Amino acid sequence: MRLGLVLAFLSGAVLGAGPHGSPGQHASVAPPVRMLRTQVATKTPDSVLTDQDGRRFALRDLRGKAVLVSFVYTSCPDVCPVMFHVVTEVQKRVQAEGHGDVASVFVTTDPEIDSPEVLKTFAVRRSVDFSATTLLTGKPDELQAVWSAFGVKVKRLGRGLVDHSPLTVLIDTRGVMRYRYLGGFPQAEIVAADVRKVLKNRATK
Amino acid sequence: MRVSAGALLCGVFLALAASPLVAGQAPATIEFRGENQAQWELVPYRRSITVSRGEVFETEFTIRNKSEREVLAGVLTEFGPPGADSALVHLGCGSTFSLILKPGEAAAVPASYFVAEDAPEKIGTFHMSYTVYSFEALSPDPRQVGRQIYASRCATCHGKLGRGDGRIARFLDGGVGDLRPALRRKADEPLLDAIASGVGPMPAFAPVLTVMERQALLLHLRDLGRVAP
Repeated sequence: MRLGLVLAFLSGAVLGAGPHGSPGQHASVAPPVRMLRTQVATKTPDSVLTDQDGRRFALRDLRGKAVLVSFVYTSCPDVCPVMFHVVTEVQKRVQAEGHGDVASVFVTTDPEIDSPEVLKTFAVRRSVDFSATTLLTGKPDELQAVWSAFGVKVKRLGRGLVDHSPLTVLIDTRGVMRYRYLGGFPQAEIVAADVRKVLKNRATK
Repeated sequence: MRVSAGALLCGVFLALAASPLVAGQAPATIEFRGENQAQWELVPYRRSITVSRGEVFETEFTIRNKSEREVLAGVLTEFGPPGADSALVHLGCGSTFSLILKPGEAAAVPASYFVAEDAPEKIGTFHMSYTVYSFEALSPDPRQVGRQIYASRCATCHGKLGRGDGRIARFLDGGVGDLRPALRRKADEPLLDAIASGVGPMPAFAPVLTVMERQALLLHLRDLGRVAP
């Protein structure tokens, strides 16, 4: 069996055979539970990677903020656009409520394609606020170390096609990982409530 | 049975990333079904499994090319009874695959799922069926290349026929509209530009598809546009 064009995940016409909304309809339909949410209390792996501007970036530099870290890649034809949208929306929404600072970080699972330039183009086209959002890439070995530390499995299937754990984590203001959300459809309301909780706990210390 | 070393690993390892889960309410049984045709067979690794709601389970099936030609096979995963499609959640990439198989070659396709904790209690048994929806001799025909690219990179959102009813569509902000009117109306250049640069949540494919591949994809898009609504 050949890889490349060969391996592909594809149509969801059957899997998604539920009540697809026409444009505009979908927002009024509560999505089913499609993520595994786990409460944890573990030290966040010390991760230093390269951001969309080619600068070295350490997660520990975000201490004092609630941080959502999500593992995605820019050419993903599957769940990554959903994960990216949900995480950036939660970040913006909770930040606007004024309980404290919230940051979002996206770590690529495809360093072959996702150079800093590709990440920057991707982010600019989506009007990302770089004061609150960072996209990270790196050398394959350093990314592998980060994926492993977070428990993310990555398998390259072809050029620009990667199977990976659809993981998002929430890190508290002291750098402790508090929640793991496994699944390509993280639910914004649930994640936002967790972020508020993390910020509230900081405020009452 | 010979299993290709290049077997798809889509999602099978993802369960390893999951932390221990709290068992949900009533357990659910998932029955796995394959098919045996003259030119191919799809064999599930096991017939059934019983799990708690919220508990990750692994699946695997093997597809074998029984024909004497090298083929491009498209495989769908279907769920039942009605409602099961939203109750069984795939952890990883899409649920459908296309594979190139040499004569006699077999490939194992693993994946991980869980039963949503809000899955209807009244459904005690789900079934997961593996079916081949396309099986054609491999060819250098650019239309086949275009079909393959569309299937792997577009159909998840745009749907198999471009109707905007792909699995991901309803989760995207603004939804995904019917692609076919634009395919009938627009010239090649803006369509190729959209493929290369992306539109909204749609990725830019210039970094991953060659110019020839994008042209092949356009051929398939034109074919979709010719299909009556």
